Amino acid sequence: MTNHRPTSPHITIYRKQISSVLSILHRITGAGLFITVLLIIWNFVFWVFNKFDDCCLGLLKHGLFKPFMILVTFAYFYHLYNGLRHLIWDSGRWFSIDAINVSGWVVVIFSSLITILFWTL
Amino acid sequence: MSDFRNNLAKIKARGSTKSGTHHWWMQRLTAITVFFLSIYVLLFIKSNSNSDLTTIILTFKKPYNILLFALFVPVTLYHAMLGMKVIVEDYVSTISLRFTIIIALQLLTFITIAAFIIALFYIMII
Repeated sequence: MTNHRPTSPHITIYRKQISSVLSILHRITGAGLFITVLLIIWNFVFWVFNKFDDCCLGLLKHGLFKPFMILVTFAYFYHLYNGLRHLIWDSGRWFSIDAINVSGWVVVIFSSLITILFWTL
Repeated sequence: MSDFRNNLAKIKARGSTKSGTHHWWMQRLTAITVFFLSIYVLLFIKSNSNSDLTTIILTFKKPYNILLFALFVPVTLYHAMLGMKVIVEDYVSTISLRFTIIIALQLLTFITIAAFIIALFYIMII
């Protein structure tokens, strides 16, 4: 039974904070990585079953795909380091507001750095 | 128009979820496993990024590579499925639709894992 009554505004009016933004970004990168991994694996499977026909593997190196691949690696590293932050929270540490803010910025900066390093080294 | 059911009856009728901690624990365990395996996968990609196709295939055919990729893909997709289950549970309100989507995603993941393992067999014998 769908409810058509209006609700009070929440995400549209509340100021975006490091805690909420990183949390939803963790979910979005997770879902995005799931789809990406599925695409890559099926691409690989069809490449193998087509007797290693080079058509699709070369696509990944194509210039147009590069921004997408950079985004994918950033999503991966961000999800990884935010995941480590989640594991630290699971151990009971770093729950204070300051710790959450600092660790949040560390995660964003560090994952950006590692993405740049991955593509330039 | 409500369905006039008592909330407790609705909750009881849904049945047991057996254990909530299994999902939580497997998510953490697979996360750590994927972390270590993906270090290897990233190194593999990095070291083979400039090689030609035959070299990549020859490197891939080595037993340790096959094994590590055969470990990486199922564990990663299992971890992803645990996460996707939570996402679908959060955003889909209709119980029947939610049920269908989760089962469809699990089926898709399972088929993908099977296809990948068969592709690995194929690479090994070629």
